[in-house]
Amino acid sequence: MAYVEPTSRAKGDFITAAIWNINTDNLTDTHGVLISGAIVTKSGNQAANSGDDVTWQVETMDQGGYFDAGAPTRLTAPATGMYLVTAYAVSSGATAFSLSVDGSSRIVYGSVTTLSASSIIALTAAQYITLRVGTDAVTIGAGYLAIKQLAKW
Amino acid sequence: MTWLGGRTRATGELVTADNWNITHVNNPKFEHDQSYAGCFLTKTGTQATGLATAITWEAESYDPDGMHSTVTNTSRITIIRTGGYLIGIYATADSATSFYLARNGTLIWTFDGTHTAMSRVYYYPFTAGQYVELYANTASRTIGADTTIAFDLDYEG
Repeated sequence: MAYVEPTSRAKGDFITAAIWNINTDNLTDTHGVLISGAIVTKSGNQAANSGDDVTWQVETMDQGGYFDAGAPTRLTAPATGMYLVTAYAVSSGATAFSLSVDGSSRIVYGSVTTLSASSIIALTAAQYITLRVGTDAVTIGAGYLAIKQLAKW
Repeated sequence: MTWLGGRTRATGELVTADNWNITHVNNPKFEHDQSYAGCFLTKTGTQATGLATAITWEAESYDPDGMHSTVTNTSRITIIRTGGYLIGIYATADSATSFYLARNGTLIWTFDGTHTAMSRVYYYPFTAGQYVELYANTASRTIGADTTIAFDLDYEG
């Protein structure tokens, strides 16, 4: 939704339901009203092979219901829009990490033992992201995955 | 304070001091600002390169403020609101390729040429009226159709 300049109200104006709803909608269209995002981190080591997704055990922050411990590899977008994603992971051997959307590789990162990367991606509501390992027989020892909604449409 | 979500009020509902203050005073204190401008553009096909080839964007996933045209100057994103922007770039090529970002046709950032897939996020100030382009700067490469660019305004006043 396009940006709409705020309207100044005069003293004594009644705030009708229509005005209320318009103003509230405009506020929620901005990228921050309501800080929507999540950070999940690893605890413990994870033996992984090519095609495995990194699992997350600790929900450091989750405003918007992105993370479900029943699906511990995923962060699921609550709304269609643009998201900032930051990934950090340490591997026992060089690994071509990738960021996947609904299980398909979307953003390919280089082959590294320590991944530190950020991306801006577009997601539709209910799509989920995972951090995917690209090499057999490695151990993922630490990491986090963070997502923040920048805009929704 | 936790995220409260948007609320829709019923016709005829009175706006009390409590819900006015909670929704319109406390929550907005946590946002960066109430101004927004941005776009998310994608390629729909591959593109052959020479030196200093501006990458074109054929599809707009999001462009509510008309920062981009799919008809004219399709490589350009024109800034409509002065401020600091988060810029997200994801570019792929069939072989290692150098890229750079330009403002009004002049280079502002170079990305090294070792990548066949490159993901970067930067924060940079722009002025209304300036235009931004992503260039490939290695000859005889093919830019992937999954290449994207995103702009998100973080307006500082």
